[in-house]
Amino acid sequence: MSTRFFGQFLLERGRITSQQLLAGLEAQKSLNEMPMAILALERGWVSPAQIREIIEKQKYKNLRFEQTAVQQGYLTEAQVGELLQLEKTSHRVRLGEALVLKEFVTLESLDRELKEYNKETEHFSAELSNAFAALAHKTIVQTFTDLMLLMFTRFGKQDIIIERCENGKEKVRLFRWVISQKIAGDNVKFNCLLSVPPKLFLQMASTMLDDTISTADELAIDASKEFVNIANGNACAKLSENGVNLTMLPPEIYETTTTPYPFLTKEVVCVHLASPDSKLDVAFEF
Amino acid sequence: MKKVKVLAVDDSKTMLAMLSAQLRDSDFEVVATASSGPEAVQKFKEIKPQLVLLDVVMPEVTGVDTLERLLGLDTGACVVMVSSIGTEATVQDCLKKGAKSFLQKPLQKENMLAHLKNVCQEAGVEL
Repeated sequence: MSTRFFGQFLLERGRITSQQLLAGLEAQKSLNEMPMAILALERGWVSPAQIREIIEKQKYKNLRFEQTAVQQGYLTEAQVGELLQLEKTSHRVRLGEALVLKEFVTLESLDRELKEYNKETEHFSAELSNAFAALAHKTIVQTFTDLMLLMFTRFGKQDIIIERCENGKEKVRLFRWVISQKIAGDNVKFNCLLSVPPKLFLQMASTMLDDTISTADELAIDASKEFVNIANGNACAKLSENGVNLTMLPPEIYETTTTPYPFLTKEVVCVHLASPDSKLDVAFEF
Repeated sequence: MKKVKVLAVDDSKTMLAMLSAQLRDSDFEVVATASSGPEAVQKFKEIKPQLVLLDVVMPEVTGVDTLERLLGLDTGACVVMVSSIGTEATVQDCLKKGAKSFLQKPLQKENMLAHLKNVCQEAGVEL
């Protein structure tokens, strides 16, 4: 399943090397710091080789891109004036464009790979968008729920659907096992909870260990925590493509028959899910 | 046939079991496992593996810190990071610090084997 950011997708498919990925990410960063180069490239006013030359010269002269380009005779003052106007509404450079610019992939192969990548990422998006349209933290709730669903459906071969979405900690159905993970980023901090009954808990462990697990022992607990860790990690990876940088702590597990789950915040969003023979909840404490 | 000696490092026993199972009957063999950074460094010194599969998120000593320690012992160490949290920043950080590649969990056997073969070939590890 493709829950990776585009660069990782290309790396794992062997389309680029790790060094090319690194160089592509660095180029993307520099290009986003100087959209003028991309705008000039898009208009055919400069070539990739000329851009590389201008960037190289900039390092020594401490001038802006457009000033160096004029000095080198690659752009006219009139073109710079037009570019300055366009810059105000310019787009963010994607990694694929940076890789083409570095000549690590061709435009044709980028187009092919993007089609493959998008095919793998079209899953529950439409369904989720409708269910979560009115939520605060919509992108986070949607992405983390999407990836948890993917873990169950693609990896665990379970048929899981979304029933509904509600606000409030009293709405969360606390089944026997609750696995909670603390996640934080620049402007957001939340706990992501997965609440499952015993049967589903054992199915999660069985999926991870590729074996039939019938007892909730130490290994089953470790496996179900890893299941959640992978789903949430993949959600963080997916969000990083849009500039959302999150980190996670290792998951914690609660057996609610002996340890009640300690809700820490008032703002709780709960997504009720169901498999053909079981119920489960994903909840978010913001 | 001679197999590539692998040291698998992860704080999850499940992941260690999974990695050992997925590499069975392949060109790779998990000859040792470690569940923490310090244990990984110790095992690395003892068995001198040809390939290290290293988890990123581990308590106390992280995978990235462990990577630096392993490369401090052997600059040519072939280390592939393995993590569920493959954010751009994490992948970039690991590659910059000398990891040969990055694999995102969940691992799919066929993809992983093909990828590891490529990495080993590029790094000059004999297959």
